[in-house]
Amino acid sequence: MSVIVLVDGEPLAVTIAHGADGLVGRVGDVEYRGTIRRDGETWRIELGERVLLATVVRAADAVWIAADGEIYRCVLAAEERAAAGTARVATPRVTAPMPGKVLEVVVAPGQRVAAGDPLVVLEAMKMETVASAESAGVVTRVHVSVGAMVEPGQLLVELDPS
Amino acid sequence: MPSVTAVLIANRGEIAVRIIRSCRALGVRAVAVYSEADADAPHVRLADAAVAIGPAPARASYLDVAALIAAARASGADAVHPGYGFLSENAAFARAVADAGLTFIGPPPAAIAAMGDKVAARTMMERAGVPVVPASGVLPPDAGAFASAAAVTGYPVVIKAAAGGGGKGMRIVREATALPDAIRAAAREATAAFADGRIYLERYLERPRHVEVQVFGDTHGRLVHLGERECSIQRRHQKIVEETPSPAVTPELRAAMTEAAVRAARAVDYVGAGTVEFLLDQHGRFYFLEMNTRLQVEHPVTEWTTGVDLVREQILVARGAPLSFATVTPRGHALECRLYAEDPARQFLPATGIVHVLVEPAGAGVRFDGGIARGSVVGVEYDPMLAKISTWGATREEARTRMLAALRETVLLGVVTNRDYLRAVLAHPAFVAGATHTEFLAAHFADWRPGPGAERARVAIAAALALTSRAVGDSESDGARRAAASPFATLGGWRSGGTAA
Repeated sequence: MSVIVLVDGEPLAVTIAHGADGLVGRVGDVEYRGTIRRDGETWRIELGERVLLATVVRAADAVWIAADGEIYRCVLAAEERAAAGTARVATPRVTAPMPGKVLEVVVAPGQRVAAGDPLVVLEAMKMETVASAESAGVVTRVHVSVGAMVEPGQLLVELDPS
Repeated sequence: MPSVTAVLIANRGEIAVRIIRSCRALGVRAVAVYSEADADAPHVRLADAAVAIGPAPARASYLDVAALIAAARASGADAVHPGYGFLSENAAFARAVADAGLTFIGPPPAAIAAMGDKVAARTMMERAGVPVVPASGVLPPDAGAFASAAAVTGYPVVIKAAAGGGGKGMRIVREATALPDAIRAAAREATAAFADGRIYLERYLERPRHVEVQVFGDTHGRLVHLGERECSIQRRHQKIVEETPSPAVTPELRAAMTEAAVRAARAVDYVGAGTVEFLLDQHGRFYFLEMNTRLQVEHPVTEWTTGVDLVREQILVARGAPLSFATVTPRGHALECRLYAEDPARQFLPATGIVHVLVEPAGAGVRFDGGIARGSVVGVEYDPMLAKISTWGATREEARTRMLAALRETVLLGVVTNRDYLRAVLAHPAFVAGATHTEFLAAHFADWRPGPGAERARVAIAAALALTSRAVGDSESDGARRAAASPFATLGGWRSGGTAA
């Protein structure tokens, strides 16, 4: 198995093979031999000289690992690319930067906007965030209305850059 | 004397939990309220009774005065504790509670209202002899008028919009020659932002510290202070690290500040727990900022050093009892860190998710005040503060190193938090030296990013296995595995998705 794991955003190439008495893991150029055993959320990671007793849980697309006083959030690079890809298609699509509630829809279809113009105002907890146009264009579709709850990455507004 | 035998807690999260604990220790029934989003929350589980008050949005639940009073009546509560935030500084709520024949555990409504109007409060404090930041009042937009005013307040000054807020229309001026341009710009910005071009001037405080004094009054006319807290470490004007005593406050300054704080509270006939906030400049001069007419988030540090349970004292005072102490003699040093669901590396964007794992710190001199548990959903409806960690030490350094250990021990998986940011702040040489001010985070942590974890390679291997296996986190397969003889399942020959590993 060969995958790219983003550990707190840092891409690490990981290869795992089944060895004679455990696994052989390779991260970049470094090889680690040993075993990983689990009892529910508790994982005993014995690779090389170190033994880590880690807590491992899976939440949606991410795996969270607490080990040696640190907390790591890990995702597969493929999934991160897929998620990023939805926000980078031909027509400029403005997506929610954070989860929250739509406080105000500033624009309407047909309206011309300049780069930096506010499009949608979001609120999460006590904080307001403005989703604005990255480039100039004409609003073709508005996908949310005031009061709607949005997820990060959710499509808010589509622009025609012409 | 008002009877307080059952307290309705008009709040949620860690402060509701914290108030329930003091109620229980006093033998007082604790009644929780909850919105639809909080039906399984820790404060609901811990209370003696709980009443549903409405849907998730706060204005339809925790801010609904009629629903709260109906809940108090239905549950047989004879008193209401507002906590902090929500309706805690709402004079109309305090009045509505009293009108319903219930005891409001807090100051008289008139004191809340007097301190709630910030402009009127400033005038009142001036009259009471409490120092306020020297300011001019609204001036005509000409350099002569501003120059005369600045000569009185002293430079540097800041020109502000009378209708202002949020930094709009603000200009810092360090000498008279810069006044004309600054006046024009400030007036123009004020007109654009607020449709009101009126501007005024006040002395600009460079890198001040936020130092506040805890006060407590009873219904017998006694009003005392419980020392100061420094809360300079702020992001977006919200405190994240607090401590007592302040590293900057000398015994002489403490005497002057606490005396001024008691005078401020006396000016509004204060009863109960309150906090008088000051800005302290680099020359040891302090200025009244505002008074918070409620319990503060950071009250545990005062509890650590004084030994007073402030919530217990609030309940006793609400019953009409005299204060249980005449003066306090603070001992040692205490620190508090606020654990927020937010990403400090991404402009503190609020984070959401499910708390899959929660390990609370413990040990000598460590206190954890939390409002979450395993399985809690951290949503977008409420304040992103999840918990507070406080530590005590004989010295500041002992409290600080204890806090670093406690933060390391705190594990929350499933939601991004500011834990590692707090660790970095506590470890910073300027913090260690006590060189704190309200611009501390902007000055030292503007570009902060979490450092790479030392074990990231081994973690990456484990993560690769976890991410490519459908079984991880699947309780059914965990159950099946538990039935097997070995306590640990070996993952050496891991297979993922039917493909040989």
